[in-house]
Amino acid sequence: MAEEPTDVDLIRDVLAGRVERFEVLVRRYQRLVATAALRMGTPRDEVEDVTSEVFYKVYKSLGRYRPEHALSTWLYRIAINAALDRKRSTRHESRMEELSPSLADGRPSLESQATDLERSRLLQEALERIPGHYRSPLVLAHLEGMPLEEIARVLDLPEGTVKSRLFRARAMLKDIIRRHYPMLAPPGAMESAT
Amino acid sequence: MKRAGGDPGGLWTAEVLRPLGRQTVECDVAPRVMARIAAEMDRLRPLTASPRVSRLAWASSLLLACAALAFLGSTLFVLVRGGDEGVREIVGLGLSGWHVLMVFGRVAADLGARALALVLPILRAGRALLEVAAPLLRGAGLLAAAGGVFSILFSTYVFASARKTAPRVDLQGGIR
Repeated sequence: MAEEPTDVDLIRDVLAGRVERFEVLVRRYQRLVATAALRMGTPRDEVEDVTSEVFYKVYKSLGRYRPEHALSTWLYRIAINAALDRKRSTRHESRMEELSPSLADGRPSLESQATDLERSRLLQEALERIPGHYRSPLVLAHLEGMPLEEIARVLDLPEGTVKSRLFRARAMLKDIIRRHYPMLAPPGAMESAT
Repeated sequence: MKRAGGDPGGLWTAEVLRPLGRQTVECDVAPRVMARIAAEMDRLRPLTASPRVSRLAWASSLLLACAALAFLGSTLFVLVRGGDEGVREIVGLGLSGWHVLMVFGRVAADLGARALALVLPILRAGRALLEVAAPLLRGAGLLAAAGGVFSILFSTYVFASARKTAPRVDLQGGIR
């Protein structure tokens, strides 16, 4: 059985003129980029636009990719910047669209799925109230599950700065939930957190 | 995790964000991206060059630079050896420029020497004055240090006396 080509192999092929190999990279990472964009507050109907814009940017600057870091790190960086740029340019007035059924959460019960979707919608509203430069480390740490070191690489910031922004972002989230979305607080957690 | 002021901690945040963490997006943007790349292929020269092409470009530009330098050197050599009129004029101009520079240099050096001749005696006088005044300065320093020590001793005495006479406060907040 043929071995899967590595990211570096694919990039090398594209740079050598085999542009069609870029499609493999897109298919490999489109879910990661789209999910990151959604979690960064991009409305569902704009996620595809942001994702394709990210890959177009990646293609244009593929020659600048350095294989010392994982491709995903670079993609996260571009995806987060694209999501924040989109936000700045379109200025959504906290417009939260209904999450479409194509959102896959892998849960069996329809009822719990609906609850989850509603909670997600409210959570996204809450996250949107946090400024972008605080939201990014929060999303990367607690939704993408990245270690501090990698977040620092993605955001191109010193680890100390990431750490302090993360602390501040969590404090902001707690405050926003306490003031505007108390129903999102885990049972009994708000008291222990305050 | 150690909590900062107001930070609810990682566990709380993870618990709150869990529903959002379960959300993923299924989309297929590959055809769209590839179509856009194909449409703009002519305008978009794929990216920057590959490392091999970069090395080749670098080596060829170095070779070209060396060749250009050699051409320039040999042209100059031929012109100088052939006694070209233009070269003679340029050499003459260069020599005149050099002479002008030398004259200005001498003037600047003269000015510097005069300034030094004025300033040096003043500096010497200042140094002599410092040497004469050194014992006096040392005495003043000693006096100031003694004054400092005396001041510390006096403050200690004043605080000690104040503590002796101050009212005592018990653990319940009462004054004894």
